Amino acid sequence: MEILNFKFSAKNKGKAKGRAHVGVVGSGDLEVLLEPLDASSAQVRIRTSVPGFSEQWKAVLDRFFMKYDGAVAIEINDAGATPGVVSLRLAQAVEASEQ
Amino acid sequence: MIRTNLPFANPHDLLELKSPDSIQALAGAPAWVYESLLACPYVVVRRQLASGTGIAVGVRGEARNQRWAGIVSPDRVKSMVSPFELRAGTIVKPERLEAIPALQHLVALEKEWCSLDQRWGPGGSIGFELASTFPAATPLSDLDIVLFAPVPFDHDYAHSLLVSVRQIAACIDVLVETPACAFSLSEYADNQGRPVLLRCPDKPRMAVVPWHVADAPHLEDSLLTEMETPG
Repeated sequence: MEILNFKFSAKNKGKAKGRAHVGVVGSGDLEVLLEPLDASSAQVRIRTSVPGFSEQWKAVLDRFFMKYDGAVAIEINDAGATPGVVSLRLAQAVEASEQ
Repeated sequence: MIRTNLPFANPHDLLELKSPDSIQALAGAPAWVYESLLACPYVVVRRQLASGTGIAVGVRGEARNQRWAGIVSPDRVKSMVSPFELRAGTIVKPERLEAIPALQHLVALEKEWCSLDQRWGPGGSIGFELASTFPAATPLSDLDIVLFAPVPFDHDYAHSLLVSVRQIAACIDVLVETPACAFSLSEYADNQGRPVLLRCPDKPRMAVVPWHVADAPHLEDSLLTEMETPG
């Protein structure tokens, strides 16, 4: 188990309307918990069962926050998801948080 | 039980290679890949379209972060076995059964699901160990189950399956395989009317009815960035 923390600048405080919980902790998948944050940043905390992929996580999150500017706290419980699955789950969490 | 002809290889199938160097482009792989294949010449078929006639496979190392994606030519495969052909009750040694809770859970599930309509079996480290006899599982291994569902089933049925699994152990993870993709049984059972994540050979997508991949709506594409997936 490895824990990773990332912080991104994010100006849009009202972007997320509420909490969102998507995904499942199963092999090759992940769970994403997203909630609004009263700050000018976004925080991401990842617990992953597969250590040693910090750079890949950063690359996925960099791309995500290039297009998403919501001030949110994101918690991820990962069981070895591919970057494609991670991106899809993040998009799903954003969509759920805006409803 | 072990087939030696190779009509089709599906995700989760385990292939025994003719030799440790049967994998293509092995020269560019990390050193542990050859060492792993030397210790146990088995690979698992990946959910990826391989180029030409090659089969996309994954090599397991000892550590969780040691997984290597390769291609193998069908003529380098000695034998092949699918998860639904693997059972712990008949194969596993008593000392392994005692040491590995996930194997005990599998034996319990074999009793519970002995007359299930769908074909099913163990994937992950448990499937690998049963196919190869190599001790790949550890006391901390989860039990990954693959359930083959060519015919759609509804949320109520999914929920009943999930209940029977949960009463054995919470750490059993069931992946449902359709002819086109795969999805999590628990996500489908708990999300009536909402989309679930489908793992398809090209890329993951979301759909309310997992068997209707062609109708799958795309989530905001602007938020998605296609990346190479290391598997």
